[in-house]
Amino acid sequence: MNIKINGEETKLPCDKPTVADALQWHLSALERKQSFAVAVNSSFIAKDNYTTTPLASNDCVDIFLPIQGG
Amino acid sequence: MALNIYGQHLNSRLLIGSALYPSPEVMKNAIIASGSQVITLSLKRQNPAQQAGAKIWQYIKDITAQTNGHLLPNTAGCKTAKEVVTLAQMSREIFNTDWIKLETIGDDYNLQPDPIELLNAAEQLIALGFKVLPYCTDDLVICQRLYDLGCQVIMPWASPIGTGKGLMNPYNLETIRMRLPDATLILDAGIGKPSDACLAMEMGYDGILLNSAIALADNPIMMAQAFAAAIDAGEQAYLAGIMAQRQTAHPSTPTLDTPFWHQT
Repeated sequence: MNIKINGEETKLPCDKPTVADALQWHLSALERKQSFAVAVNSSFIAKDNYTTTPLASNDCVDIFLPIQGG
Repeated sequence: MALNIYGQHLNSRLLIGSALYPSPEVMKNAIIASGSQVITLSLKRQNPAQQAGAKIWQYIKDITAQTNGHLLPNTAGCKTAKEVVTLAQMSREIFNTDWIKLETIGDDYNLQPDPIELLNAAEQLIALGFKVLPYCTDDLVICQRLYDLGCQVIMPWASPIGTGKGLMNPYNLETIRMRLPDATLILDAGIGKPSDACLAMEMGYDGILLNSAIALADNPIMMAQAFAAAIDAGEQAYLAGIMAQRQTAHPSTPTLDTPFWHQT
């Protein structure tokens, strides 16, 4: 299935992926330990729901990390 | 006297941003020198492989541990209430705080908040349990509406973000203070000099939020100390009671029996 992760086309090697599958595919084990949050199609997905939130073809998964701010 | 942010009492009345410093080490030292107990930060879409976010986040965590500080995530870059709500929810999960500095930009040229989206976003965030600190213009009615929605803290601008122009409309800011006596008012954005911060505190503002004026100084650490001193001075002046202005001169020195009085 094709989705976008942070704006980049990504092909996931499964038919019924979840958010957890996308993160597993896209991030290393070390990267998954970092502080980040996820939105799918501009809606927040809580960490507890990664494994139960299904993805559809062309969904946009965005990963957000802390940065400096004013 | 302590600064009250949603029942959290803080010794410092300065809230400080974490952006634009020459280096993370200067950021850390400037924030510590400022005495601030509230640090603003943000979220950005990025790949964890880049590691930049993780490094900055570690620096900020170190600072808050050292200062017993609080995080104030912002919604910088958002233009709609929907974007704000998504970013705020992500911030709450990562930073483990209900505080959110609400920003909804309505104009890219002067980064002026969009008042319609601001009110809409504030209402939604409060319904979701957030403690909202909205950044707004110095429009009394917008400030009043935000307060009526349940925003205990209101943060009108001094002037557009990053301009350093100081208090463009002191009359508006004084009016907001007078009309919202029970709100926690924090002047946010546009501060350029410590005297700007002092002036707002002399008006009775409860605190100052700034970033560029410290981060872009030639010596950010020294400037952080200057702002801390100016904010303390302004607060003490307000509490002490500033004399009323008078239209005509009044001699300070008693004139009765002064030498040579009879010669005039």
